[in-house]
Amino acid sequence: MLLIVILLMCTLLLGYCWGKHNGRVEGYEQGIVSLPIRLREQSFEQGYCMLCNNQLTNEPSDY
Amino acid sequence: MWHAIFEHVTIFISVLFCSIAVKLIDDFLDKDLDMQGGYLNFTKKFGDGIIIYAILSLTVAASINAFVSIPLFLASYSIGMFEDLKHPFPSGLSGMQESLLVFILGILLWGWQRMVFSMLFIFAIQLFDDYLDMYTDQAVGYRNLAYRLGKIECLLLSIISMLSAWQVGEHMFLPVFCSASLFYGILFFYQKEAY
Repeated sequence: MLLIVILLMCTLLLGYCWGKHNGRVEGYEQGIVSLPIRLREQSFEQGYCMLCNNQLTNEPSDY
Repeated sequence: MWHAIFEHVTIFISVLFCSIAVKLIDDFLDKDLDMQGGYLNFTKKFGDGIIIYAILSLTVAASINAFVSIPLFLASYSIGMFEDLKHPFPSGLSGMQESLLVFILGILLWGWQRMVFSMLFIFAIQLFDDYLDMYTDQAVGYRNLAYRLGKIECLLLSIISMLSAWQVGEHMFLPVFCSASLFYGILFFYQKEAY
């Protein structure tokens, strides 16, 4: 009985470590993808474009 | 029946005395670190002479039940020194070498079952202590096992280690566990009261 509990706890520990590692890798990848979009969104909200550093206007673009 | 009860009582009392000895020696060795962290330290409170009481306490523990208290003390020494891997000791050996030497000596003198039980039991307590003290240890720049392994991993490993100790030394686990828990509980509340 005790041996089964020990095995279950070991499985829980391994599962936790695996999940944590996987979560870290996925979170990192997700962060890399979403960071430029988030930064651009924030710069637009503050009234400028982070790529060309120009102030935003309501005029249509020349390009 | 009476013999079994008497044996459990002797184990309980001897582990209590052994815990006092380990705590006093630990306080003596870690007084500088404890001062920085603001922990309760008996050497700081009562002076360096407290080490004599540690020896006295260990002698009493060994006189009551040497078969349990001495392997527990050797395991405490072995696990305590193992953390200090690079620091050279008065013997000229490194922490890891001393730990292994004490562990092998323990197996030769007291048998593998008692020594493995003691190692697992003390390791579980060490992990649980590190789990509780993670942030205070981190504040004084000491990266304990909870920091290195992760907090939940440390707690789960502590439970696994404690259960494994139970599996190895089933006949002596309960009195040892009760005694160590009582001592740890008293220390915990005494520390809380002190601040």
